[in-house]
Amino acid sequence: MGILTPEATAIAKPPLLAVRGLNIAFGDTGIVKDLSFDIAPGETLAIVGESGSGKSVTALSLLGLLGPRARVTGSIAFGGEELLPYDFGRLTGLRGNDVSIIFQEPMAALNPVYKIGRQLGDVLRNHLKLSPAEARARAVELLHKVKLPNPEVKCDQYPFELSGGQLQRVMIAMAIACRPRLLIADEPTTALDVTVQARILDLLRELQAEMGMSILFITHDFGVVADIADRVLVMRHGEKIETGPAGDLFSAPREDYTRMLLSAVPSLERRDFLEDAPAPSDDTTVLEFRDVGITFYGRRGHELKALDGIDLTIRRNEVVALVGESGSGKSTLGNVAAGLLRVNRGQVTIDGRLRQGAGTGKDLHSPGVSMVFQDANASLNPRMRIGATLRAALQWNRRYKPGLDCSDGHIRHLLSEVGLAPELFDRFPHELSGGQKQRVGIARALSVKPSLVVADEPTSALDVSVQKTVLELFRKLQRQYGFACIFITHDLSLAASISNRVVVMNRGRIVEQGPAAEVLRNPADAYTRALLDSIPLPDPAAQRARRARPAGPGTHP
Amino acid sequence: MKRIILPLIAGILVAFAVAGPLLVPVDPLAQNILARFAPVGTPGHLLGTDNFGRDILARIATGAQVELLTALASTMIALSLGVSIGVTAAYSRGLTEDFLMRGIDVMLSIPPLILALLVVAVLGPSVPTLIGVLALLFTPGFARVAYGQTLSVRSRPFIQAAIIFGAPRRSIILGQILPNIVAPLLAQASLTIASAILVGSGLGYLGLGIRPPMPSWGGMVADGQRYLATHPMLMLIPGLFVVSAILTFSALGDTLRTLWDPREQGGR
Repeated sequence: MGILTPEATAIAKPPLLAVRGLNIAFGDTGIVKDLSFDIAPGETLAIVGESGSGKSVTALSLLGLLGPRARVTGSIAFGGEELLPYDFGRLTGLRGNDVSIIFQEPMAALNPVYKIGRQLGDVLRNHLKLSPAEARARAVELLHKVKLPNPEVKCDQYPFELSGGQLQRVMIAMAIACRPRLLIADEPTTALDVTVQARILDLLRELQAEMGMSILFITHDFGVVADIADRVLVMRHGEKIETGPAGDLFSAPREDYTRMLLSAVPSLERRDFLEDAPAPSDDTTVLEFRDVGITFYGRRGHELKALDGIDLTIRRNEVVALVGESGSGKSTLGNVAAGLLRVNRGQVTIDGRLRQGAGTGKDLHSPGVSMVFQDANASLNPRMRIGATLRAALQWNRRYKPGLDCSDGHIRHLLSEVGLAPELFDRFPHELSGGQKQRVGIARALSVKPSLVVADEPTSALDVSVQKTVLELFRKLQRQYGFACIFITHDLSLAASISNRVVVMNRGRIVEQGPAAEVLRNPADAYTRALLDSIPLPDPAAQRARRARPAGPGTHP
Repeated sequence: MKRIILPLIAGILVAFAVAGPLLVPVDPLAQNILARFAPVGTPGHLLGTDNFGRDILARIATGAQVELLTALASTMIALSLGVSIGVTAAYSRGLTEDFLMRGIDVMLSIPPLILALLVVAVLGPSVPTLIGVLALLFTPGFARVAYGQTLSVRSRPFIQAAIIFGAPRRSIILGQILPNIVAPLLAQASLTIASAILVGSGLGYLGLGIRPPMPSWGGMVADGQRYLATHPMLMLIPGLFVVSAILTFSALGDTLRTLWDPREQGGR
């Protein structure tokens, strides 16, 4: 464990894993170029990079999991034993015994048709000589160890009955079943909520201290890096940018790229608030929710209150950030505002017109609202060129606003306004990068001169560096046009950097709301405090200090 | 290469069906007892003659017209009918959906050959009857594909975007959903043409398709069968045309799908 082990002694031991001059290519395309690194016993090395940096490919290459099309050259020495060229017989003996791996999507990594206990038992029996009863007893014991509540019950459940965090615990149990010397963790917390992420990271740290294993941690999130890593390796386009102890790298990054990545992480500590934003001077109410409720009815009379008595008013010029974990109802609220969902209860008024509630018609559509989607790629019709997509939105909206300009010249102007070359007019969505597609999404949302924009996690699928520029663009355009905005995000620091007001949601209810700075500095509600405490700080020293504090009363169950 | 060759062969077959009688200006019904069983390559009878001395090439050409046009026409009818039903069901949901899709299930539960026999027995064999029967048989397949595809495309965010930006229903269905379900429908259509040729010539073989003496490939196979031992070409030639037409059309779908995908355009 890095805190207790001084760097010097960790380096002095012979490395558990030594990678030298690693090159990985698919066909003619080099994915990883001349990469070298070491992992000492008991050490955690984090490989950080954006999408396409080759970090996951590097991790998979260690176990020979890349498939026959990959050409892997160089040297990978594990415990002094050379793995290249791959001897798959020997690798099979290594996998699961000495080296284990956990993946980003625990739901996808477990087989949906087998019970948890059976899957865990199968892994154990593949490696150890155990009877089915012994395997089950060991499985329960392992599930205890990863702090899964009620392991005896969970053993007899199917993956779909467990939450994402619980499934990741099962995966970890599976990975540590044979006490591996190296655990590869490929973005293990990216798909999880922050509160769950914090507890999974705690668990990994505890297990590491107890079992003395090394961890190779793949991530794009510098907050997570600060929380778990002893040493950091920054990668870009398949090459090493820099490497060093986590503390040094955070306090004194040597390379511009590292600095850029670090500065792109929104931080509550760096007072990254939107304080210079003018308070909404315009009192025109754009959106009004009165006691809005939606209940979804599942099979066997199962009821889910996705929204439960929501009262919310948004004025012109105001950016309201909706924060909460998955299942909190924030996206449902956004969809109601956008006219995609019908409410069971209450009233929705948009631009002074009652849209939903007693006495309204069948049509939910309100012309003043537009939306930016989380998955920019899926929000563009793959069969339509960019220009055609924008023109279609304008033409549809012309039924309500006859003044809209549908000319090609105006569409090209819209593209340049979001920082895109007008040449993209004739391209198909698949020819654009993720950031470009989201800019098209923003251009489309603003082209119809909306009074309210619903932005549903518009940057969460983008790389941090791209995220930052897209956010800046969005903020600039919002100030320029003064539309009201519902900005849905699970990221509190992001909420702080973009909004005038933060609304915290939990289980379909609003638990707290107020000016961003106030809510995030002095959270009144226990749930908000738990959310805040779970955000990893992009600073190893601060993170360590916070971890040392006993968990406050706000700890979420 | 594949993307040129297959459409080319299909094109030749279709052209043969359309222009065959012009290319082979011989009456397919003209009998000539003296020139019976002329071998392949006889001057004036490129593919020889049959047991009545009728020119086989001319009969194949006329048969192609019946065979391929029946297959294409019935597929087109089944395609439009099936897509309308499937897309309407998936888009409207609720009662309309139940009504339409259960109707499709009922159609699927009728054994195809029995239906064909029944209709032909009642209405008598003719080209329009054949097209009608085949169209009816293939409609449920298209409806199911269109239904499933529409359901999955409908839930994608770009459809939500279209709704939010005020797209009318008609342009959501025609402009947004349809172009995105064309690829699987093309594949289904090409397989359907192939099986329509198969079923059509099967019915012809059983004497339920085109009434003799009008030639059909299936009927020619049936006639030639009697002379299999002495003159095998009488049966092999029309059989070969049936097989190549089926192979071509069933492989064509893949090529058309690739050509339809914008990702495959622009020389990749």
